[in-house]
Amino acid sequence: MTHSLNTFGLEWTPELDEFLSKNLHTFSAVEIIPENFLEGRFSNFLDLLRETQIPVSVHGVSLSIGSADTLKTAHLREVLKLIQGLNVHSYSEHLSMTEIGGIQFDALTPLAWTKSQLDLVCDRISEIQGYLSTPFLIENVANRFVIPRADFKEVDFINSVIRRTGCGLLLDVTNVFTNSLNFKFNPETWLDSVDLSAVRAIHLAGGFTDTDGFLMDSHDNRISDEVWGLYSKVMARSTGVMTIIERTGNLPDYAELIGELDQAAVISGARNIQTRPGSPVEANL
Amino acid sequence: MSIDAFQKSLATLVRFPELSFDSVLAGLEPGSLTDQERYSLSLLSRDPLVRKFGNKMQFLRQREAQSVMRLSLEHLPQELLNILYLEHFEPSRLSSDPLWVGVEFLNFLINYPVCRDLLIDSPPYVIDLIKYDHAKAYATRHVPVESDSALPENSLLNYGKFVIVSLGSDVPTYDRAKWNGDVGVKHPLPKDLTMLFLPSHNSPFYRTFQIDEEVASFLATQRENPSAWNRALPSHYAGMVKIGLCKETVD
Repeated sequence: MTHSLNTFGLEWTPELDEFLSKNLHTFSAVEIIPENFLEGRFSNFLDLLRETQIPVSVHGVSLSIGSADTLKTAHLREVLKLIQGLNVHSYSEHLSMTEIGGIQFDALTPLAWTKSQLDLVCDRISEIQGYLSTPFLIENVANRFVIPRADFKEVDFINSVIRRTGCGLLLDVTNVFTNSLNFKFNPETWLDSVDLSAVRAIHLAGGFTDTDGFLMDSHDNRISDEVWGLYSKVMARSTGVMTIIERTGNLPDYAELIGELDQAAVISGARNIQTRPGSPVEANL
Repeated sequence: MSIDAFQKSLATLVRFPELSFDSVLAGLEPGSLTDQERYSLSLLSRDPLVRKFGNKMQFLRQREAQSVMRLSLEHLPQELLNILYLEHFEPSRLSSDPLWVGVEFLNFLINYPVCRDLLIDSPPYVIDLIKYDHAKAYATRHVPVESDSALPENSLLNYGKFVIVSLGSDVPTYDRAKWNGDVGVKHPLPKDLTMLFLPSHNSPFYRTFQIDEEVASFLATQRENPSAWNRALPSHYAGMVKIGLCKETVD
């Protein structure tokens, strides 16, 4: 099964541009935030992705799929034009909102887990899927607060979205752990409840504990042992998953980043982090 | 649509963390929230995590805005900046893209009467520093559009996006002194000059030129007539550097 292979990579950031450009052969996957490449920015890296045909996770940050605004079709078309020619593994967006009615939140803001919100998100995702020829994934976010008086638990809301739209899940294991600490629930129970068969990609990252004890998903620290433990449980039940490490601040030695990817590969039983779907190495497995 | 009103109310709470629940409700049409949404919103208005989130985002926006004030920041009291940013700029800029909030804030400082009034006691070079910072931030964040084949090769006009700044102070010299760590230079000296700032294909870098009044006037006129960009241009405006109509002053 060609597509049963797990792949591993880093999220591209401007700070990692040179490293990733020179060492792309080291990885079996890479993630880009398309908004970083609009208006011609860093087009050399996109050219490299086209040339190498490495599987790419396209991870959007500004479609605001949970907001009641109309879909930003111009932006979506612009992104789709940008990623033409790439070997796109999936297009993902956060299950959240970033703006409503012209008001910017400037960050991923949690949704109300209500019936009306569920209808809205499902309609929005179906509309987006109409534009895509690749799988669309939703990502669970680190909640900065939780909107009370919900009709669903978060995990049931996510499962409902997956069931109704057929979209996949970009499972951010760090966000599950972060939310479990901040809002007092058992992350293993959460993972037992979520539809793991929908997981196509995974995010791992490290954060820090704020002065008030709130754990922040800041992508600027090593991945914690607890998150590795949860990742291990997920990978024991998943296959054909792209694992992406997000490191957007406080960059360590590159060896540390590669070491974390190696750790992910070992946990998931992969031979190494380089083997790509369809490669000769995979054919011999 | 009820969820629309709920989300807008939540956004208002996040953007204005000090606002009371009653104040948020006052901005809504009666009956636009369900009982469930109304109760949820009342709880959110008292939730310290919502307030913390809103304050954090506001702090980050202001920090981003001030991050592009490379030369002007140290000549403006933080207390005055807080008044200008938090009381005047922030409430009127609900849709600012985080990437552009610095450029928009500097533009606000240059152009809005309330800022001119509050800056009236500042030395005259302060507004020049703000203009210079604005032009630099604008050029840094823009990437040139693709070359228009109707224009001569290497024409600066190919860039489409540019800023022309007329200064009464020698800010470029002051900038270089700051860059070289010359602590003896406290502020720019008086000098009239006009500068052109261009984005660079190698973002986030940019190019600056000292230009004469003729070129400044030509460019300003062209910008006000976007449809004229595709017309054939006088040849002596193409590649202004090459033919010496302007001189590159700063890398």
